[in-house]
Amino acid sequence: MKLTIEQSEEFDEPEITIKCGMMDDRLESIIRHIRLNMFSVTGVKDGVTKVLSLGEIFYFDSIDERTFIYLESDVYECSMKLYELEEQLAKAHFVRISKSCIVNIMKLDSVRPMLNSRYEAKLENGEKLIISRHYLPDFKRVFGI
Amino acid sequence: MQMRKKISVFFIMTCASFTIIMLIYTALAEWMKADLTQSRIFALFGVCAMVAAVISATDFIPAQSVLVRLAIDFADVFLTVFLLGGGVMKLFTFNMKTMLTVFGMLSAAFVGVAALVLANEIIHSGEINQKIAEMKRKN
Repeated sequence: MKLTIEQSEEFDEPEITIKCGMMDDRLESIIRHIRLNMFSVTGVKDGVTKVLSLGEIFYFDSIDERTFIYLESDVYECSMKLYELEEQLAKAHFVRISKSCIVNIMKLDSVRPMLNSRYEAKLENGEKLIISRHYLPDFKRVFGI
Repeated sequence: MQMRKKISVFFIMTCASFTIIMLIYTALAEWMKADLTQSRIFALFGVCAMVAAVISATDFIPAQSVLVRLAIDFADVFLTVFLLGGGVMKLFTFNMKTMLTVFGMLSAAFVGVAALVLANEIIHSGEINQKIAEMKRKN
């Protein structure tokens, strides 16, 4: 794989172009990483607005029609609806795991099966989330199962 | 892909529950004074398939709690067997002894299928954990 970086003052905005014959797992992973670091979400906490990169987000959770962004130890509120986030983040490392939650699979530590075809997902920060039976096939598909 | 997986889960549930029911039925046939005729075997398979279909259909009912989900699945099994198997197909009569026997058989089949599904999920979760570890190594 060849990597070419052109740096010049004439470029206003960084642009990434990938030229390839066939898409393989390695390339797909690189593209996902680029997406993860390129896109950001705006979160609000205590009246302060902050731009959060997708790479630092652990999961999104929706409670009473309000969407919250969970970082390692911080929580921000997001103005977007969960279905909007799901659409936008489908090609990044995010997957819907229940009616109210979208998780960043890069922040997963492990999963374990529970009764009734559910999984418990443990995140890097020790938090545990439930992967519901309805969303389990989509979750497995992300891992090629 | 999604549909294929759903169909394969449907067949696993049907075949596993049918096998368990047939084993118990065969073991208890003499005591229950019930003949295992060809039509009865097909009817039992039909009921097992219908139970699996009803469970797959009610899968879309959102249930956050494990207990609620278990209750829905249990209701699927018992309502289908008692209404279809007992009521429509007349596979058993509605007296206390038969009802208790059917209840025991269904509970055993329910636990058996749940154990089989759990064993399958243990394998899948192992594969997922391996892939998570690989992803972390690459990063």
